[in-house]
Amino acid sequence: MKLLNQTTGWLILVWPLFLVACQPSNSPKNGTKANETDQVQEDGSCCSEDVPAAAGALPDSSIYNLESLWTDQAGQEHALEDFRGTVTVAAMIFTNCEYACPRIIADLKAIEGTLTKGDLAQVRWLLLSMDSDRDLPAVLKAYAERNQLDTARWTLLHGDASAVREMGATLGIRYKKDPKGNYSHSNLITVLDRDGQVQHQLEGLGATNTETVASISEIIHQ
Amino acid sequence: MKYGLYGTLILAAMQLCGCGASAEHDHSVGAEPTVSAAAETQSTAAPVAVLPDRPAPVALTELIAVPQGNHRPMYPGKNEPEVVIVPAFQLEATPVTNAQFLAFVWDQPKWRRGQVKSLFADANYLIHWPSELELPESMLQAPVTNISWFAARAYAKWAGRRLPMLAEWEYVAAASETAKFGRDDPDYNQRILTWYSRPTPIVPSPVGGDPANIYGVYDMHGLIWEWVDDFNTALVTGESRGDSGLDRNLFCGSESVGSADPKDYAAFMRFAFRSSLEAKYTVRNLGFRCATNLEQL
Repeated sequence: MKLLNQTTGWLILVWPLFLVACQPSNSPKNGTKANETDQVQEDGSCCSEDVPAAAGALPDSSIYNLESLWTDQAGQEHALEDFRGTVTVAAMIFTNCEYACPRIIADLKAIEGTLTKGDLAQVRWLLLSMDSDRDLPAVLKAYAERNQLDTARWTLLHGDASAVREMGATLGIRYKKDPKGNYSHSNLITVLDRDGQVQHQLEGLGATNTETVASISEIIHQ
Repeated sequence: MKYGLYGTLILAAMQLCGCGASAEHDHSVGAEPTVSAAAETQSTAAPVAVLPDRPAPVALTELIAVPQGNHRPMYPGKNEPEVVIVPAFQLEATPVTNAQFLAFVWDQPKWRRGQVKSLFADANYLIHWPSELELPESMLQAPVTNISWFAARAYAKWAGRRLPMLAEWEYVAAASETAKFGRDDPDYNQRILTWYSRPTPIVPSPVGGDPANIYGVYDMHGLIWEWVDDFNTALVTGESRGDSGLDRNLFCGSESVGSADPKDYAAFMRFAFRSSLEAKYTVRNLGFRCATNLEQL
């Protein structure tokens, strides 16, 4: 039965790709739902000529191979592959965090401050919340406003507990929820190339960001 | 389907005489001529290897109902209670076997050794399997090992189950054959530590060989180590706030004196082991079993 369902699913998935002649060699991830595929096509991220690096199958080591779904601060649902094509700087936070997370955002803004205007336009800043219970899209929206994060360039994402755990494990972030609902967590800023491959990770708070900036710049200009 | 067993024997015989070598090393070609496999690998070449027969269906492992109880975390965090309540749940009686995992990779080609993405498993994924889709009879009932956390999780999802949480696993693992808290029994502790000190056999024994614990769950100790869903909570190393000494604490044995229960050196070893893992790692003696919530009955 499982095999049958899967096969049927594939037929549904593969057909629209051929119909719109959108990278026919680019097969979607196994298990991708039909509506995710539609989303990718709607925003043109698989066909746009502006993002040549996003063509073809995802590299095996891309974190965009994760199949989890996330909702941004505006309530829009995303597969991670939606972020393909831009250089992405990602961190995991929770908005009730009083100490570490504001500092992570300060660190991200410090990195942002070193980039030229031209480079800035090519970078997406991705904040993934580890607090799936409380950090609903509206909370993330308020948080973005409070911290003056321009949502044209900053995206804040809510995922369910399973998606969050998978993301934490993939990025190598160790975190633990305490009984009050707050989190102890390691602090990590991750630079992803246009295909979602980890190119650099910066550990700790207030760490020297020279290598991080160099990594971002290298991806943009390579 | 009914010929699965014969197929197994034939392939095993082929491998003994070396005839199966080409199939064994052929990782680049999707060996499964279904729509999904062909689309996933984007392979234009026709499958070269002769496919073994699909193995006969294997049942999922029986679930054992575990009543609500207490777990004492090894290193309770600053704001954490010393005792955590574990709600009632169900745990598979034995670890997932090679036979069960084989059925899973037959069903889900992307989890086969030759197709798994490097994001999800390191290079040693299922490396002890002589072939990607066929196993000798002698391996079928042994627990599957050399699988990553991602793969264990994918199996659990496929089975309609989930991985146990660390607190759930440790709570059940604390029981001996006769008591819920076996660690107060010196004999029981000694047996676990004796196992930890033995080298890992190349092929683990079949599951369910030792007596069950008081809940009716087998092999929590003595066979393999097991993944838990929240393995990456085993806590926070150096970079975290206020925990700058923890790296040292983790690996210095004397620190177990400061832990919840100095007698529980075995739990301390599991804690240290988990904190050394990454989600894509595969280890020769690391497998898993599944759990479900009680309401999933």
